[in-house]
Amino acid sequence: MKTEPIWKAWFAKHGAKLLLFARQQARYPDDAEDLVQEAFVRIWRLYGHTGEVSPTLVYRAIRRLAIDWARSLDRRKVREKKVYTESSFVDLFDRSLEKDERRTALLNAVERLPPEQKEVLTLKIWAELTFDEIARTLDLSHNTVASRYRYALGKLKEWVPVSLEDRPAGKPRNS
Amino acid sequence: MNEIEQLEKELESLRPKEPTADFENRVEEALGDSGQLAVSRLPELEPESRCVSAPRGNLFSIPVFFLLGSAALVALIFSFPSSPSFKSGTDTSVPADTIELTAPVVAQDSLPVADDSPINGVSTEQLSAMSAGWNEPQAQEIFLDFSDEGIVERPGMNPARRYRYHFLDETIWVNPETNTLIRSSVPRKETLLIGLDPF
Repeated sequence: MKTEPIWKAWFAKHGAKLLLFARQQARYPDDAEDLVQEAFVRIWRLYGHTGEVSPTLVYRAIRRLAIDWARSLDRRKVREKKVYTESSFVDLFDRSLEKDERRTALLNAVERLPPEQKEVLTLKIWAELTFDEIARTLDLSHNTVASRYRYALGKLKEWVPVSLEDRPAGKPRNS
Repeated sequence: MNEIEQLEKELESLRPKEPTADFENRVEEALGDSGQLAVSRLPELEPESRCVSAPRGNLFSIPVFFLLGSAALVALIFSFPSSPSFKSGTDTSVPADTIELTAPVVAQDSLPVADDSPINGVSTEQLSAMSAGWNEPQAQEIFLDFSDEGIVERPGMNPARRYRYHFLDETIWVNPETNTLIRSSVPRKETLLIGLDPF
């Protein structure tokens, strides 16, 4: 009889979202995978036997580890051994989306957001956390989280006009 | 739908890139044994796995357990001679086939014999004769429950989280000819320690 560890299904569901959040939290992009791995393994060892782990715990662990690693001298040595690669926010999403002008503009606009608004937006939209869960993850009040989210959406609305219709990138607009 | 809701819908439709297979392999290696824990122990995932235990199945599949079953019968028989009703032979309530089974055991030639019989005083031929008609024993490992006993300190080592699992090892011998069934249930505990890396 074939069996599969439960963590694989869990990771298939949440792995991409965790990586997206970790890439924002990491001081260096190459730290993102290490952050997700370390945070996920620690939390799964503690609670994995239940078969279901709240993603909030892992997001919170990622954030705390990112802060610790930013201060750590050991991590600096690890980073120095790696090849540093810069990636834009658009690169973190499926490449097929780059052909869509409005969606690309949206992601570029998200990248322009202040980090504190971007992390709230990421946790709300892609991690699908509630405001309460985001507040616990980021150690903020519910009201602060909600207002940052509103500000972020307001800026996106302003920066990406509705008139920018969905069409392949580079294709001239019909008059 | 207002403009903000439309914007949220558009953002939600964008999918972040999936982790690479290499990265998942790294995570799997880092998880080690704790990655296998939830699969092997959760009954609702694989209900049939509770009733199957390969290593124990191999152990029980050998004829020794026929012999052990027979030994249990022999032990039962040895207790009968002290019964007055049995000695007199007038107790008609005892089924005929039971009396036939006891006959070779109480006979004079039931003294210790020099063969490979696992039971003192009963030859392998006698055991084989008594084992006739018994099906292969069925062994089951029944998962009962588990408990998380929290974090325990280990001298000179990192602390560990301790889980205790409760099982019931059940073996059933069936003789369809005599419509007889012997069931053995033995409770068993397993303790699992998962080492922790302190934050």
